[in-house]
Amino acid sequence: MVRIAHYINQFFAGIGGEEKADAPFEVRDGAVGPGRAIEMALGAEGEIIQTLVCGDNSFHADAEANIEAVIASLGRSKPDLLIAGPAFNAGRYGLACGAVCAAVSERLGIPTITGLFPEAPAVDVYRSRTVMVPTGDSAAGMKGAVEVLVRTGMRLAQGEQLRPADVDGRIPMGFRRSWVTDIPVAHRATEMLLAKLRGDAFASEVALPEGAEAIPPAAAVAELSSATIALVTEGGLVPEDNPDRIESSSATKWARYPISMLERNENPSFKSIHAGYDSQWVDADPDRMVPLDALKALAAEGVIGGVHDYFYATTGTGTTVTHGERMGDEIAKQLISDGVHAVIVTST
Amino acid sequence: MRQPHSLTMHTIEIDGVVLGGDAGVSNGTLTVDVIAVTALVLEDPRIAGVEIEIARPGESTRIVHCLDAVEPRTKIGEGSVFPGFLGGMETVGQGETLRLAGVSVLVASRYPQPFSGLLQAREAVVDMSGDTAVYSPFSRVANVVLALTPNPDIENDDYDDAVRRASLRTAEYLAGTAADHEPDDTTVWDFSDQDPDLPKVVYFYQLQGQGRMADTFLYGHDIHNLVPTLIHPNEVLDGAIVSGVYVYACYKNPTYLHQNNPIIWELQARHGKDMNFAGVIINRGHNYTQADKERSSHWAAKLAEFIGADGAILTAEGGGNSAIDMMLACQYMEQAGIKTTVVSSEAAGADGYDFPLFYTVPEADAIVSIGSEDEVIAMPKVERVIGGDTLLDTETPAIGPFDLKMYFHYCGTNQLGANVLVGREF
Repeated sequence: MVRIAHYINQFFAGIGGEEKADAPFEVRDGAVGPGRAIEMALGAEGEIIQTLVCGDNSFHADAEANIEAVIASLGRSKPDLLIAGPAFNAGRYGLACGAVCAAVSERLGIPTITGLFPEAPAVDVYRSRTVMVPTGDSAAGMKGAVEVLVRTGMRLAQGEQLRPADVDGRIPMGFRRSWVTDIPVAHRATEMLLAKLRGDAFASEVALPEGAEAIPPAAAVAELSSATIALVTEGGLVPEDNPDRIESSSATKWARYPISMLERNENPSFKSIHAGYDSQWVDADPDRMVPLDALKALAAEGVIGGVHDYFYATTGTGTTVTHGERMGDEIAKQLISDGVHAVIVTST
Repeated sequence: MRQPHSLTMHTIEIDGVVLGGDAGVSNGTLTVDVIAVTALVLEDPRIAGVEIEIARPGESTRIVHCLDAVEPRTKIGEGSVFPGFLGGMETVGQGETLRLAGVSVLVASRYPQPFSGLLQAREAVVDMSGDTAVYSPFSRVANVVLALTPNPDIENDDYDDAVRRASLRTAEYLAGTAADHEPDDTTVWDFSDQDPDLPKVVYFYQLQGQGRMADTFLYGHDIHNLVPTLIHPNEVLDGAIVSGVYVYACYKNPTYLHQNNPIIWELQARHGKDMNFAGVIINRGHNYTQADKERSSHWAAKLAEFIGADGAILTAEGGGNSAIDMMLACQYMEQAGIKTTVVSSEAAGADGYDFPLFYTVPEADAIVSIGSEDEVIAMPKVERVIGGDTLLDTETPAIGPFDLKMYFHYCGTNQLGANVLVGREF
């Protein structure tokens, strides 16, 4: 029999409405309020061993302490599953359900599930950290909500893998994963094309992105002859032993190396570890990727003020947008704090 | 006189493969004469050794270092399969061809010299059973594996040619051992009748042509200078296109899947029923400059207009660079009034939270997913490994267990649609 803990607010615990929203955290044995409907749906498959109750205001007044109390309680009782809510379209209650579920999943490794109206505020905040099933916007939909909570919750408690969100009847958690299908690609592609040709509805299997963020170009360098210029590359140019272990593709790391070291180019010499282009000509002469020779000549002529003491490198192939944005941000902050005025980024 | 657009394909269904001395097909079982195949492969002095093993669906067997796979085929009467490599230089797609269905000749090898940079043969793994079998379509056919040892004294480019000829010659030889066997099916493929009431669909068929280890061959010639070109579907199905793409395993299109291109099979099956199969536009993927990409993509869209296409299905081969070429072609076709669907793999990171496409155009509103190339798969211990003892690069024991990125699963996210994965919201 699956042992379940259940989290609800003061209203569903029968303590009272808004006037009792400061009711403190407490733990009761067995099922309370909607927990009884959950037990009915469970039948002989499971039971609610304890109900955690907290007022909507008191939860958020000290969320950290209340979460610690939940963790301490479930750490002792070790349930197979935590169900929170359903909280429907409630703001504070929904956020409390999300926070409790996220903490219990992440810190105790216990599967968690809550039920929310898809547009409830807690959905965007916690969707990636706990399983959520969609409900109506009010407790009038309790019966249906309990059924889907129990059905999906029992799968989680029994250690079954998640299936695609629409197959499970869940709110999507914000990530994509491969799934096995028995409908061939060629058949799907042809059906989609013929529907499009007929003017019928069709559903793309990948949605196009929201409009990308526009990056305005920086202002022109006012005094080039006094500007310090840095070299940055995504061409994977690193010392030959790759001391910072920058990845050949799907990079998550960047590093900077002294240009004096690059100029010497022996012990260690530089090479490209980039897996997205044929690097033999760069290995033969790194100036082809990081044009230090040309920049030093311009500095000697007085065209630019000087070359920054370090060049920066990462690998730009298969890199995710998330890591790309983070690395760009980190490199830019370092360059600014070093007083660099402008950057030449060489790309493959 | 030969009918130029008609190909008669005889199919023998093979449901078992054994090694033995009495070559040929009997009751659906193909017997491979080990001595004869060994002698055939070792005629080439660039190959120092060959071990021949069979990997069957359902076995606890793993194949590593997969380079190319080829379906056994031979021409009946005039001509040769794979012209440009075998026989004279002529085109295919007409006459009669015999194929052994359910079998691949799969060549596995390391290269004699170390590689540097992008253009290197990378690890490519097939598991023949268990949960990990879904990561390669070659888990579903019987593979006659040629595990080759290179002559250590030759250069990689030379060995590359030897590998390709070994698999093509073996495939032709094996089909030849069944030449007097009664086929299970004979189908005439002919698309010359076009129904004016049905929409005309063209197939935009991108081939990777990036350099040695990432090359595709059209009638024996690399495609570096190929401009988008019309080719008859029968030519593709009859061996005009041979793969030499040995880079990332998840998205390479081996010769076997050119011979059995799932998009072409589908369009052929539906020709005259709910659409007309109007033709195939082959084109080079991985054009190096933006100007070359636009030139190639505009050219492909123009050809589709020339033949009066109403719709197009587009496939790519390779990663982000190739995706740009395909997406631009999608854009230009849509702008010319040709409706499109695009087949694409997904790259949303190992955890799946990033945006899944490399490059998009607003016109690409009908995308078919072939799954994530970024996931990491837990590979179990298996009973038998063919092709090598350790994985390339990491030298991890190939028997397992180990974690393996999708990149290294042989045709795991095959862009011609040969595998069973689809990316879904979780």
